[in-house]
Formats: sequence, structure tokens, C-alpha cells
Amino acid sequence: MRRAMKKNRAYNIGILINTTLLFFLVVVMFACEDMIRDNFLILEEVAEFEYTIDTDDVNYNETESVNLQSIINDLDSDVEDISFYNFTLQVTNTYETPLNTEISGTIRVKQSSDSQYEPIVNFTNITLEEFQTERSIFSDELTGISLVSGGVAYLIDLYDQQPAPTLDFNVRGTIDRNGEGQNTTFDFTVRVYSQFETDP
Amino acid sequence: MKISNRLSLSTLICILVVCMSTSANAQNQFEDAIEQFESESVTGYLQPFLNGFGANLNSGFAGTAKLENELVIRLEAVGMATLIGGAEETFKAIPPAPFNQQKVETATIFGDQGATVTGAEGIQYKYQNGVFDLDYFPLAVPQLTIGNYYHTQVKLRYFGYTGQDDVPDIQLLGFGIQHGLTQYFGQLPLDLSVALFYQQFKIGDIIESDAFAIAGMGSKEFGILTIYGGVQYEKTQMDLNYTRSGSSDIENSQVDLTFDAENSIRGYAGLGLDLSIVHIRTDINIGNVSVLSASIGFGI
Repeated sequence: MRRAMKKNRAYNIGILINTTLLFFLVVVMFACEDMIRDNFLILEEVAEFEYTIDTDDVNYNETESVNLQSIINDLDSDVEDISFYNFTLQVTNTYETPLNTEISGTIRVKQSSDSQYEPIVNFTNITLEEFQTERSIFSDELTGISLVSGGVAYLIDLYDQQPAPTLDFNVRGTIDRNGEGQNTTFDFTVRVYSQFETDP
Repeated sequence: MKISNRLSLSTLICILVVCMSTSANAQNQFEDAIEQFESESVTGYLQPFLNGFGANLNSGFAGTAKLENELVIRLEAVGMATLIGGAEETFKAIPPAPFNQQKVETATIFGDQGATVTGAEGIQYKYQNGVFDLDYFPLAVPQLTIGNYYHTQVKLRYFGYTGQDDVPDIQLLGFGIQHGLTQYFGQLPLDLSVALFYQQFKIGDIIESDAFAIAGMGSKEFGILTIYGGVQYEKTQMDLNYTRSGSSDIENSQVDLTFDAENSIRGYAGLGLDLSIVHIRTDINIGNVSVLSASIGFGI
């Protein structure tokens, strides 16, 4: 009789705990239901190209490529839209090159399958020292950087293309050593800041 | 009897699966959205979340100030909710360079579409979209109350989930102590108590939140009905620690910051029903953030 009562009490306690947990889980489920918006998630990426200029010539000319599709594949999400919102230039290493060395040039872009480059930005007589700070081509804080009409729109169009293309970014120009004739070595880094709208 | 047990167990399992799958999706999107922000903007994006979360976490501790020296063991499910209005859906942020450095209104984590700013040559920057679509921000926690020894009882809150696949670890650990004051005052028209609570909540490696509250409470019993109320000072902090996605500056891509919830003082009032081993209570909390809380508990 006593054993049966104990068994009954244990069963009732079990039911109570079970009911409490059930209530807790129902509350959690109610809270979870339909709480997530059907919005795109925006992921940011930076495509960075480092051109190593190492020449005793007056001219330099280097090209780097970026495969936008491979970036998309790395994101592991369904990408609905790609765009870029900043484009910067920076000299990241000067080695033994004097900082008053001036460089001029043009950044150009094309789809890898095309033959014709489209210029995006020109820069004229900018010292390596001034370029040691990352400079946006859209900022007017440094004179000597000028956007080429239609160039940015062309790049925006390339980013809009489906499927995402491979892009060649070319930098070419001249070096003014201020009368000194030594070899010039520096790393010139171009960064394209992009946003990817993804369907989570 | 066996059939009812099986039904009950299968219901639990179904609910658990639904909840885990839903929260897994939320968790990834939640963390991914946060990791896109630099430290200047992430606090604005998350402030309404911390306000609601902190206000919820600091709710529903106790339903009576009467703590007589008798055995109390009670397991409760405590649910809380804060209202999400238009003010919680937007915040003002300064766009990144090279865009015009004027504040724009954009979505918080409770908002809808993020703002889009347009700069030179037609370039555009789009702010992160909102993640949660809520009219109210709910939270539910299990709470165990054990007492009363020297008119004192302790309260424990614990919830743990060990991460699998893309779902990070989630852990809530809370501890509270409530002490009855009526004994010190002789005859009083109502019972009085004071309480201290500390809770810690972790989500993966990104978010850690601490909540602290100190409360003064009064209550009056009318048979099975208890009317209670009180005032509470509270402080909730959130620590964020993550590496910002999409940053070219490796040295400055680490975000490590702490910010506070905006609610600090609240008043609350509620009703409780003691039906033998079943205990039900509900209260409303008024402060910078208003909270409704309700609980059902079983025990003595």
C-alpha cells in the first residue's frame, strides 16, 4: 500500500515536471514562430590587389584579376546582388625608395574576355608619402586624383552582370624620381569594397 | 497511462525539433548580420535588442514577499515580453567614407529594410537589414526556487544548449536570493522583502551579457490570491567580441566593446494565484522599457 502511494507520488511529480517543461517549450515555440524577417543579409568583402612595381624605367604597367564568381562561391549563400561602394589606392610598401618619388597613372578595368580597357581614375604627381595613407578615389581630400567620366558607371555595370564576371584591373603610369636615377620599388594596393545581398 | 506518456514525450520532441530548427536559422542570420558592423554602428543596431533582452531577463523573479520559514521547492516556467514599437525599429548612423558624413536613419535588428545612401558617381552603400519581425520581444526561462531558510530563498535559472553544426553554444545561468523583511517589523499591513539577482547569458563566442538587479518588494495575501509590487534597480551589459567581416584593415577589424541597456529603474505590480501545488502569477513592469511577465510553477 505504502509502496503504491510512493509510486503514485513519483508518477505525479513526473507529470508535473513534464507539464512544466511542455509549457516552457510551447512558450519558446510561440516566440520562435515567424520571428525571422524575409530580408536579404548583406555581407561585405574587400577585393585587394597588390601590384609590386620594381623597375628602373620611367614607365610601369601591371595587371591583376578578380573572379567575382569565386568570391560568391566562397560566401556559401545565394547571392542576389553585388555592388561596390568604395575604391581605394594605397602604397603599402616603399622598400628603399625615397618617399618624395612621384607617381602618375591610370587605373583601368575590363572584363577578362574583352580586349578593351576602360579607365576609371587618373592620378597625377602624387608622392609615395601621400599615398601611404589609403585614398578613396571618391574623396576630394587629395588633389591630383580625378575620376574618368563614365568609368565608374562602367564598373558598376560590370558588377551588375549575371553571371558574375572575372575582372582585370590594370595600373599603368610613370614615375618621377626627382632627378635621382635609382631603381624604384613599391607595392601599390588597390582595394574594391563590395556588398553582397544574400538570401539566408 | 503508457499511451499518454508516449504522446506527451512525442509532443515534446516535436516542439523541440521545431524550436531548434527555427532558432538555428535565426542564430546564423543574427550573428552574420552583427559581424558586418564596425564598432561605431553595431551598438545602434543592437541597442533595442539589449534593452528588450535586459528588461526581460530582469523580470519575473518573484510573486510574493511573504517568506516564512517553511519548505519551498518550486519549478517555474517564466515567460516575459517587451513591446517593440516604431522607435525600436530604426537608429541613426553615419555612413562609411567616402559617403557624406551626415547621419541617416536605418533599420535596427528589429527593423525592416536598411537605408541606402548614394555617393559620388552613383555608388551606393546599403545598411544591414533587420532580422527579427516582432511586435513584442519574448523570452522564456526555467526557474527553480528553493527555500525558505531564515526567511530566505534562492532562485536558479539555467538553460544550456551545446552548439551543433552552425548553431553556437547558448547558455543562461542566473542566481538570485530573496530575504523576507516582515519579521523585523512586527505587525505590518503587508509583507516586505528585498532581493538580489545576477544572470549571465552567452551566445557562442560573440555575445556575452550580464544582468544585475536589486529589488524591494511588498505583497498582500487574500486567500489564494496575492497582490504584489515593488521597485527595482537594474543594470544589463552586453559584451561583443568578433572579427568584422569585409574589413581590409586586419589590425582594426577586431570589435571588442561593452554597452549598457537603457533601463535602470522600474516599478512593477502583479497578481498571483496559489492553487495548492500550482502557482500562477503575472505582472506588469513600467520603466524605460515596459515588460509583461507571466509564469506557471509547480511545487510546494
